Amino acid sequence: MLSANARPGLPKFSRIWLIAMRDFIGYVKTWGFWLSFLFPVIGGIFGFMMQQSDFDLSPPRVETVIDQTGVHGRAILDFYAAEQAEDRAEAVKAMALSLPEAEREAFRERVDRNGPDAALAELQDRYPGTAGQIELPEPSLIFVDPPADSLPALMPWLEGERRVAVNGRDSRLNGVIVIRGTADAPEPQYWSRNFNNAPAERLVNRYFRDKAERRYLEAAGLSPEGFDAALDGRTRVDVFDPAVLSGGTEEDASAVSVLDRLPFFAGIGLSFFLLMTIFAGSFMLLTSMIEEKMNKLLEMMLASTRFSEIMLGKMLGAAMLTLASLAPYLILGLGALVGFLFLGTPEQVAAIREALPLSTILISLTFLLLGYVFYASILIALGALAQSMQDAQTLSLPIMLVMFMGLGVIMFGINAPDSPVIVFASIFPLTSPFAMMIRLASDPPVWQVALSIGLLAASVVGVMWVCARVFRFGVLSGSGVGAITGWFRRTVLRRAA
Amino acid sequence: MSLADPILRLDSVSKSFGGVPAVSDVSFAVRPGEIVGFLGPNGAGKTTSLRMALGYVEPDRGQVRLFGGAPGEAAFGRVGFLPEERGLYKKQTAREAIAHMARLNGMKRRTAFETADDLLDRYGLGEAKRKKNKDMSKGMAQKVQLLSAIAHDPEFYVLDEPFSGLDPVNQQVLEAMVREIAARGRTILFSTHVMEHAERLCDRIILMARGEKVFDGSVQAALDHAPRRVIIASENAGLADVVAPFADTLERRDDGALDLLLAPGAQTPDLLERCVEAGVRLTRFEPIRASLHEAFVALVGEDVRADLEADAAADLQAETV
Repeated sequence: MLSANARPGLPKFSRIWLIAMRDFIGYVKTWGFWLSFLFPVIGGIFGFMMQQSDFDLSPPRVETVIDQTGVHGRAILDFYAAEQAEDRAEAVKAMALSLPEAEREAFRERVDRNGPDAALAELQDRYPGTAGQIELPEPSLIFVDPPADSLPALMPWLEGERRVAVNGRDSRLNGVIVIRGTADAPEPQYWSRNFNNAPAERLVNRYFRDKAERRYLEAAGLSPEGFDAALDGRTRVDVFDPAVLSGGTEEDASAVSVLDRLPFFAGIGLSFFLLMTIFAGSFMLLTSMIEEKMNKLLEMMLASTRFSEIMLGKMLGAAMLTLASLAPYLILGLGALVGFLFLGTPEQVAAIREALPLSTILISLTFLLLGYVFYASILIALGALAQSMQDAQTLSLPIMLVMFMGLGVIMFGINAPDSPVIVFASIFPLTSPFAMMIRLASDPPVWQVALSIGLLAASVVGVMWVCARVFRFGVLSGSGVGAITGWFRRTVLRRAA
Repeated sequence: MSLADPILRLDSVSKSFGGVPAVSDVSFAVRPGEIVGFLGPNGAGKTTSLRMALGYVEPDRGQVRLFGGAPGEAAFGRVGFLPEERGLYKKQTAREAIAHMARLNGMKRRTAFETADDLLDRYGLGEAKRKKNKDMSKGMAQKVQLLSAIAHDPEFYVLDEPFSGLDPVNQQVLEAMVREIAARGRTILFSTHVMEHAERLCDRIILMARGEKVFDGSVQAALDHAPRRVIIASENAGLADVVAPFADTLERRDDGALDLLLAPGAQTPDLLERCVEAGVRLTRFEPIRASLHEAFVALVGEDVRADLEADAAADLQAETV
């Protein structure tokens, strides 16, 4: 039976909405929100301007070769040119996926036979839209003739004191490949001030590895071309998942495709989304609570609003703000999904529909909601106890550490979604929202999903109950953490406060 | 609930915090149309009692009835509460602040904004309608806070220390607002530790000290507990001997007059009659009207008086600052 002083009834949504909207609009009016909201647009404009201005974030490196063997210098340059041609051919071949299925294999053969440039010209003729999407790989190295014929004489260029002309522009010489010794016993060296990331060094290593391979094969009477053909025709492993939806049977060897991995990617995406929502919302919840405490409006609101309504309103406001901040990304993601559904091939559409069944979406949304309410309740309670931003930052640090644990779970789950650690994390309430969303792709046992939801829901109820009391205490007492430690001393340690 | 039923009733409520009693066995009722002053020094238990009255805090013992039921959702929209510690959202405008609270109390959006504009115009804040709260003076902000609490025109007003922090001019404005609300037949319970406000505004007062109720009745009944004094002077010698039987204490003032504290049961007309009978030619006979402050001190005793004087000194300092 309810006591005469109890407050029966459920929270009223109209009041929750008013509180949420007040918080939401209060933050939407700030510069910070609009900077976050417009970040993709600003980023897009910046990227477009960079593209238009032909500004290259990673320009090719200018290198030179001093060859004392008379053989390997030229051969390295030829080896690099062959690699470039192969990369271009692969990029053009990749466009076969955009062609009708019947034409794909023939197109790949024509690329091999006629070369990538001829195939590209053919593509531009027949499918100009598809050809326009090709981004041919740009060379990462540009080789120039050595401006001096010895290493000591090259030093001013390597030190950046002198520059070389490349396509009519002055450029810095990044490094020099020096090959001493003889043709049969070369001693290659690479000299550069920038040796952390040295594609030229890797090129030389690849070249000599290839040389060693060829020498070995020829010594055994085998041709390198035959070896390459043997490698191309090797048996490949097909990956199957008994639960896979678009995959085939043993007889029909249509293996696991990227589309089959879609639920896994979706789980990772939702998990990251939850993490970002809590990170972004946490700051708002904390600052909002401190603002409320400083404004001292809560007590006046309580004459017409319940504690639970204020808490839920603040949670909703923070969630709305986070969603609004992430709206550009959500719209892009959903737009891409809808685009695939309407414009994709029938196989793609079927795979997407099968990969993301309603049950998976609903379970993911349940974890997303419970996970958010779980952490938001804790953050509101901490905010109610804080008396300054410093207090809030100190109080929220343990929660942030737990959140980083969530990030760790996501990273670990990407590599090993069914490891015992992730199975435990998917049931433990502090990490289950992050871990279970990743595991859903691999169809975990129903009892584990049910147990995880049950434990998380029970934890949410418990955390909300405790946090509502902490919130009520923090609001009405106006005091901070000291009051909690005082209560702990009095009640738990039984000492006089 | 009939008209005669109290809007608020506290029955033997008690509340302790951390083992320290804040309110002990307090009972009182507020009936429709009354202006009740809830008086006492800081720490007397006023705010805790009001919080229990509104259901913010559960009493450890006793029962609270608000509009005949448990305090809470059933009373939402019927109560206007101005807490002791109050503020505004700094980035909201005055009209937004008032409309927000009115909407939380169930008013429709359009009506809430119209009411906000009307109230701001009526109380001389028309030019501040679209001014952000952070740009308002303290007096203006406090008026906006009060308007936020009353915009939905509740039946019952609970005002916790409404005059604190206001300069004398704004205190007068606020007193006028309270009178105007009362004239509309609304019920008001307001707490204060400044007795003069209660003396001017209240039909009835409840005096609290150290968590206990020490008086509940009309202002006049409270004043009856105050010591009665008469300043009396005469050209004749022997005045002191004539009036001594009526006096509890008798002190001679610097101007030669006697400051007489009437003994219990002694009446001013009897004193005057005795002087006439004794042939004393009076040059001054001035009964001093007792203040509520004196009545309170008489009711709570000397030890609480020290607390009151400390409060008064703090108020004076705050006003000076």
